[in-house]
Amino acid sequence: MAAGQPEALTAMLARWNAGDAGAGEQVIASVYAELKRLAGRCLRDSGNLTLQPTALVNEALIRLIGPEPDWDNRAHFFGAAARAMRQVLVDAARRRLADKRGGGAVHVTLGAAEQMGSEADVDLLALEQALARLEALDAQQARIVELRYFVGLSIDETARVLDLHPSAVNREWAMARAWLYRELTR
Amino acid sequence: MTADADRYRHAKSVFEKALAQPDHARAAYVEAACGDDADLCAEVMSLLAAAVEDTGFLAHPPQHAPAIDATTLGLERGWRVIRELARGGMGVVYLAERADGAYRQQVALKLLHLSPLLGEEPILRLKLERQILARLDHPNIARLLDGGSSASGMPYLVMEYVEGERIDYWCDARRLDVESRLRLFLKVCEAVAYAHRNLIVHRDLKPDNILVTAAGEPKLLDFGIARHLSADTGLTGDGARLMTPRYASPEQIRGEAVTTLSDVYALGVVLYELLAGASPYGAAVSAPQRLPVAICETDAVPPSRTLASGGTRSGETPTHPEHARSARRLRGDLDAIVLRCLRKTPEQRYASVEALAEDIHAHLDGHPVAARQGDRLYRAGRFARRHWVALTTAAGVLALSLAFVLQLAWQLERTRAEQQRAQAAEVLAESEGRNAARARDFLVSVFAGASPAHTLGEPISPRELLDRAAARLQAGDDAPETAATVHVALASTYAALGDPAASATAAQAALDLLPVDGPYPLRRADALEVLGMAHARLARYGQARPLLEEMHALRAHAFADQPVQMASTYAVLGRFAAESGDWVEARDWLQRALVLLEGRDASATVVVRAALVAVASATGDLDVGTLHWQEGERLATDLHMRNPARIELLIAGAALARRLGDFHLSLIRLHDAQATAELVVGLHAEILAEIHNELGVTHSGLGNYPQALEHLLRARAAYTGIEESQAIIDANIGAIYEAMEDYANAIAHARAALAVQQRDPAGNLHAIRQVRSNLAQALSFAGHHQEALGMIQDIMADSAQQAGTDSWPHILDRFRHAAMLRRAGRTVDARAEFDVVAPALDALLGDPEHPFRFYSLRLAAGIAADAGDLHGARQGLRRAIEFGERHPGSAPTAIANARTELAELLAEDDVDAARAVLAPALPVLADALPEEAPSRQAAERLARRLGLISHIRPQ
Repeated sequence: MAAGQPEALTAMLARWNAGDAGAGEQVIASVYAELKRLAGRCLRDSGNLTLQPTALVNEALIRLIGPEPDWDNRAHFFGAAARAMRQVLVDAARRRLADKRGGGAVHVTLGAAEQMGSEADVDLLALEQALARLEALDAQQARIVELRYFVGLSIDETARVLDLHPSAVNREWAMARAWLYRELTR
Repeated sequence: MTADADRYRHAKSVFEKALAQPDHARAAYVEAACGDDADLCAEVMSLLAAAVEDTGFLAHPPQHAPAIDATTLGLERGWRVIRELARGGMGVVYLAERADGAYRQQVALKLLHLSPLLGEEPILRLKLERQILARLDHPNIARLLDGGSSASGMPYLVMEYVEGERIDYWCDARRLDVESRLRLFLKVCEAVAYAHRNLIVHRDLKPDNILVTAAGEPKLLDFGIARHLSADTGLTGDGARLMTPRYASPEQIRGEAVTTLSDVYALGVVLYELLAGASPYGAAVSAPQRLPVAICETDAVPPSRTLASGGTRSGETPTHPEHARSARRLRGDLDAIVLRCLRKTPEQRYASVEALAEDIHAHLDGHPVAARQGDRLYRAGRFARRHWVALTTAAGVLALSLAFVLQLAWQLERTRAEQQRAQAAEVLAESEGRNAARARDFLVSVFAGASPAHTLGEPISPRELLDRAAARLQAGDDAPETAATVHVALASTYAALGDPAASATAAQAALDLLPVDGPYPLRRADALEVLGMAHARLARYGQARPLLEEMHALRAHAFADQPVQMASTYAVLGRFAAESGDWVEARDWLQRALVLLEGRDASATVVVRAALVAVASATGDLDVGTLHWQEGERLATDLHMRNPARIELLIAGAALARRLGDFHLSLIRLHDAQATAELVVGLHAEILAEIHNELGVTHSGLGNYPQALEHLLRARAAYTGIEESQAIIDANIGAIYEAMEDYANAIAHARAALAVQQRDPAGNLHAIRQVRSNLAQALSFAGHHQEALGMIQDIMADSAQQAGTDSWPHILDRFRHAAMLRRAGRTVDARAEFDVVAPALDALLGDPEHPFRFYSLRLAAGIAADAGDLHGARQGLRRAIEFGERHPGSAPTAIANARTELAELLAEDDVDAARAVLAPALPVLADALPEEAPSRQAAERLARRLGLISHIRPQ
């Protein structure tokens, strides 16, 4: 839907930026759809067995906003993409787990990867639950985890997206990581 | 903000400040900061504990599709993929971890692409890599952790995951100075040398495959196209074309044999780039079509010059302010070391990675480096075989003694089996049991006497122990058959310790206790064997022969229906014949042993085959030798890795390869022997010394004189405390100097060796004779004709008496005598001597293609010339040259010298023909010999006379 309509998404980003929460949800939905489409195509065309979230998000960025987005749009986009990517991955893991347990429902698939449920799904779902709890305690740390982990941004990139100092991101990231690790290994 | 969030904020504040404290101060800080809030304190401490655990947790994005895991490929040991690390033509390397939750250890999992287009080859290759890695356990090589096949038959490898940076980037990022780069590079050399010792050639060494960890340790990766030197992989092209062109050696580019020397080359390129910051081939590296030509034909620019002209890695601008200083630092030693690695012809490079490493060490320690000393030797290279006779005879001394040690090991084993048979055949079980028990008690009491309480805390050597045992036996308290058993054991041990005289004394004592026609014929046979071989080693062949004949008769009677025992008896007789120089008889006995052994005892068969290879090499029956080698090798593949029979076969095979002119094959076999010997405990030091000696001879044949000397010095060091053996090594060192036409040094070494050897009147006469013969030859070359002739005539008398007038040693001495007479200008005597020796030599050499015939043809022509038979001389020299040029084992300089001689004969009446004959000799001599070498000077004098080169030499 959003593909090929960079102006539309840019406009939505601007509205989101101006405080329109509904626009934010639309952006995330667009990015989500685009990420899924890209992932499926990537698997079909190249036979590439693994997908790099960072590469996917970058490709989605180019397709949705254009090759040279201004920085504000780019930062917002990454914020949205991180959330979208988190949803994509968690939804896929949830569906695979449901399939394994005999859920049997027909799902929109991501392609070949859909057939390959693994223990990682369980870990990812556990992480999602812990991340939801962290979000309640410290929303900013949850954002940092999304950007660092689900999109693979560096400390510096994360700092720019969130408009923080890199050393602050570093400290928050250390704490969030320690907290999540403890939650998951308890 | 919720209460929980509030607490979290508190915890965060303490946590972040605590994390900024040094490790040891954190707990105290947290306690102080939390005051009496014990819950907060516990919360922060637990978070800190989680934070410092370096787990890689969340370090990498989740894989959208964890495609390869235990479920999908059925990997039986459950590795789970985290992400892709690298992708190549044949497969993918993934970062992985254990799927069972123990995810501390990250690993690299190498898997193949499933493609019908690629066929079976990648599978074979990965299996091979697994086999190769399984052999390698070195701190600087990424370890193999696991491996196997998936349910679908797809092989995979699980390797240590090395988190590191390419060596060149690592060095540049840290702006390491030259010395630090060299020290790091030395660790890489150690890893490669280790692989070579395990017979693995990496074949794809490049910075991408050498990562440096955070701790500064380099790790060698990717043995994907490595090759096991002795394996027949069945792979097409053997991966030779899978190299990375920028680091590929000329032989790899040309698709020729890839050896350890190809790795030396690639290491040279890596070192070049580390030091100069650019490729040795400059801009050609970015032009794929030009690179192969550059590698095969263009000489690399010295790294110092590349650096001085501002070369930097891949197009960067030269920004290093230290460039000029570094260039000065590289000039000289380091230029020489790097360029030595990069020589186009493999044999002109360092002969081993160890040699390269040693030169770098020498440079770092401020010692002279071989690469620079080698320049002169390098120019002098490839002419060793001119004095092939000297080298091979000198080396023969040691090769025989090695056979002795191994044979002994084999015999001791056989003797044990025989003793069991003797029980049934000779005496009542009861009395024999008593005898064995008494012998054991005796030895126990001798060893008890060696305890510190009895020796007042002084350590006691095995030698002293033996002497004590022998002395106690002399006291004569023990039953004769017990004493005889112990005497034989002592005699065998003395022999193993390299003391044939003591061995003979003990064996004689045993024999005195075991009368002819007595009740213990087999024990007497054992005593006869040990005594006979001790005499043989002392070159008292006349005394040895009747003893061994009696041994043969006794065993032939007892072992009529026991082929393995009988075969070992034949093997002893064959070895004796070989040692006394009677190759024909040796071959005969060994053949008989072989017939009896066929299909029975693989280990013994390999030993006999090895002896046959050695005999065939010595006599020049190279086809026969090759046949025995192949059969022996086939059997040896089933033997245990550590079976000493393999070593003997490999050493004989190395000598054979040398005689066939394939010096590289010789090296490979010797390295294999070395690797095996290092596994054999006990025989270790002595055999390694023998192998180093052989390596010295082979390297000398390659013209690698520094390496040859290095190996000989190592052999010498291994013999510390055994002066007799050291003397033999000294003699071999002298032979190398002779090959280099450095006669003063050749004479000094031979004299030093003799001084030691002749101290003991019962020393190994055989060895002494050979060293004296070498000395006489060096004296003759140096122009000391009187002394040389006197000496060789004495030697001839000795060899006639000790080995017989038609033996190889005697005939060789007489051949040398004839050549020395001629050199002294006594042409008539030379001719007379040659007329006697020629038919005997013919009979001994047998095969008309024996390489020695080159020397014989050349000497015959010289003698004809002296007698005024110019036509015969020209004919003879033409035949010699033609023979030499078609023989791979002939030295180019020897042929060149024959050309000089022929041109000299033609110069009088056919200047054009003389020029045509001489012209090809000049570059060979100029390339191989130093300017002052007499044979080179003679050729150049003649060339000037013929107008081939100008009188004024260009600078």
